[in-house]
Amino acid sequence: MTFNKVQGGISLFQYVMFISQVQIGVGMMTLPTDLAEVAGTDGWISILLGWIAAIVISLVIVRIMSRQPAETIYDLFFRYLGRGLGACAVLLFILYCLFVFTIAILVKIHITQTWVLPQTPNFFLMLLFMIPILMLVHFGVNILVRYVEFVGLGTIVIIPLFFIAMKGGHLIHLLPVLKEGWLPVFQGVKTTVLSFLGFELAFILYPLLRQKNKAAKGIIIANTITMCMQMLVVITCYIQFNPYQILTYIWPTLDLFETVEFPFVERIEVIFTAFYLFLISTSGIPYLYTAIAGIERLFGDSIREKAMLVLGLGYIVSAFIYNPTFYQVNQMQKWGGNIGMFVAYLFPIAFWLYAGVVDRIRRWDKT
Amino acid sequence: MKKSFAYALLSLTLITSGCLGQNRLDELTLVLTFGVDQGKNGEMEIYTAVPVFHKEARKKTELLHTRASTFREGRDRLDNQANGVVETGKVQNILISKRLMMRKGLFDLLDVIYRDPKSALMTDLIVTDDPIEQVMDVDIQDKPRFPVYLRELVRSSHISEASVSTNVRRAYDQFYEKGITPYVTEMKLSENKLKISGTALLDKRGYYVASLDTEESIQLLILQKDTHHPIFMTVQLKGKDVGKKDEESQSISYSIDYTHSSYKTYVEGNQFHFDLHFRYSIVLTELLVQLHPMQDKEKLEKAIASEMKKKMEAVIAKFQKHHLDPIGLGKYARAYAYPQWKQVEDDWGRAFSQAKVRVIPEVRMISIGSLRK
Repeated sequence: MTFNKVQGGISLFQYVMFISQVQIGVGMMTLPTDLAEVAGTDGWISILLGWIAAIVISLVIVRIMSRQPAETIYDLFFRYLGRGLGACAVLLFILYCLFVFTIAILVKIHITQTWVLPQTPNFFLMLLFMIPILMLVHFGVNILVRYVEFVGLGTIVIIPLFFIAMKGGHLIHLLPVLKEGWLPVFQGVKTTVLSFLGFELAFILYPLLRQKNKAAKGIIIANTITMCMQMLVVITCYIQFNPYQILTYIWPTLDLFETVEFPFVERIEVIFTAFYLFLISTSGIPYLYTAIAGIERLFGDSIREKAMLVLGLGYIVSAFIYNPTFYQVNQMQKWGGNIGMFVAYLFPIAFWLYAGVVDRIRRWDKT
Repeated sequence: MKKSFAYALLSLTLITSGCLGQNRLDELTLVLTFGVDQGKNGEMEIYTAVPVFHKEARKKTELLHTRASTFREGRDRLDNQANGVVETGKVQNILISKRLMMRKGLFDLLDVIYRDPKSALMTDLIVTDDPIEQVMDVDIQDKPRFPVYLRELVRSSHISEASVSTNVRRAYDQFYEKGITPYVTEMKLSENKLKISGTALLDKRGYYVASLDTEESIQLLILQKDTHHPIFMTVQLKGKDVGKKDEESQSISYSIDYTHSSYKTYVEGNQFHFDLHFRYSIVLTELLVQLHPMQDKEKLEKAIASEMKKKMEAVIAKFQKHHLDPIGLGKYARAYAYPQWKQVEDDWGRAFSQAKVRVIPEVRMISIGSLRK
């Protein structure tokens, strides 16, 4: 497995950046509305609960990986499930990653078309996005991690924008806390856990980490960064938009910046949208990378380049033939959420218990 | 091999990154002002002001006119007569006639703007009683271009507390917020000059209901806590213990340097109560009554406070009479009396008209100027 190797491993900082950047993405655009739909203005409490859930599951993932520190999830599949079943599991994981990547790139195209380039056809944007993505993935995790690091540091630039957008908001929108009691808050947790998706990539990242003993700490920091970012976005939206108005927006985070006006630039949201493409790219590309790493594990080193080419061409050609409408993209996002819920939240627990039992039986067999 | 492949890909990105559908400024008809008036057969008369960039042109702004049943249709019809591609992403202000606002809700009119992500949301909204055609044709040879002039007029009058300022984005907020009723800047034409005349109050559906003059607008802004200090005010003091300097003058002028306000909301027997506490710190700027500013300090403070209380309560009474709540007290009702609010949220205007609103101002003179008396 040469693709998933990197000289000297990756540092804790890169590990944290990678995971939190995968988490901050599509969800950040729609989260305030999705959350307000279920939990109203108490949605921020749901984020706290979702954050705890994400940390718990992340720690489970770290526990699974620490059993065999040098192996990725694909190796573990083969180790614990045997050849046939293991291959099936790897295939499923690859499909999941490809699906998430597909959603990410479709949303990216859709937002670009609606906000920035309404007259540019789908295939054009697909071509435009696909080329750098393939280049990034082609050079392996080494470059990818650096790219993510770069985007992650760049994200800091947009944080002041949120504070500026907060100006002129009404904190009174948040009152009363717990409007309808605890039930909507708990229902909102399901929405928030979806926007924490991304920590499951620790499955593939863990073996690369230089200091394995800090993996748990790293993943907690990553989840916390994501939580802070979501909190900032959601609170800003809630105090800027009134509780009825927020439900009318599809991308409240973009609408937020329409109020911000500088003497030197008027439509800051268009610039933000362009910047946002970087943010969303870091939540899509790692999934494509993970999928290709899986394909390599399954079929061997020689097939990697071909797989990438086929996939890339496949996406571009499909953009010529099939242009999903807004409703279809939305629907896909919903499916993605449901599948992600299963893969990232239920599967690690199940696998952890299963691996524990298998290990115990094997040890018992040996003695 | 790998390198050349990468170069090929890179050069491909360069080719593909040319944006389709680009515009050139001199080929654009840049719409900066929309004016909408009531027309015949339920149609609207749409006027636009378009800046002219040609050096030879004598007028800086060109007026276009069309008839249409909706805003969007009007924009498309403009395409036919404009000598460039019509671009509406930079609209600065929208003028709406009062007659139209009585027939058509504001929000149906603006739907196209909210839905199209390309449109600017910082567009100012202005209501006027006069025919739009006359307003847009006003003589402004000594002023900047019409759209720019209009924008400056509205913004500066907002800063000097003569009127509210409602842009398209805020109108959207007012439309969806159940605890507030919308309000728009009102403008009037006098002697071929434009003047901000106050605030137009709309009902929840966006129809015109009543107007406030500039003085009432100040009270509204203070109640909304949307003021820029200092606020300059002149009041007539009428009271037994306030002696007159002479027969005519009983005025007193002051500037409010700082306002601390706190609103208390509670429900008693299904009636909403709002206690609006204000603590003003004022500076005397003009004293034309027979009171000594140092010896009669408390008397003076009380007199001013009661005068302000009277004015604010008059404005609030006007709101309640028309079932309007442009102050947004509904937000406080929601925040502090949620169960009761839940029952009336869909008809807050009516509930507010039955609410008991008390204004409790408190005035503190922090300076009397440079005179000892």
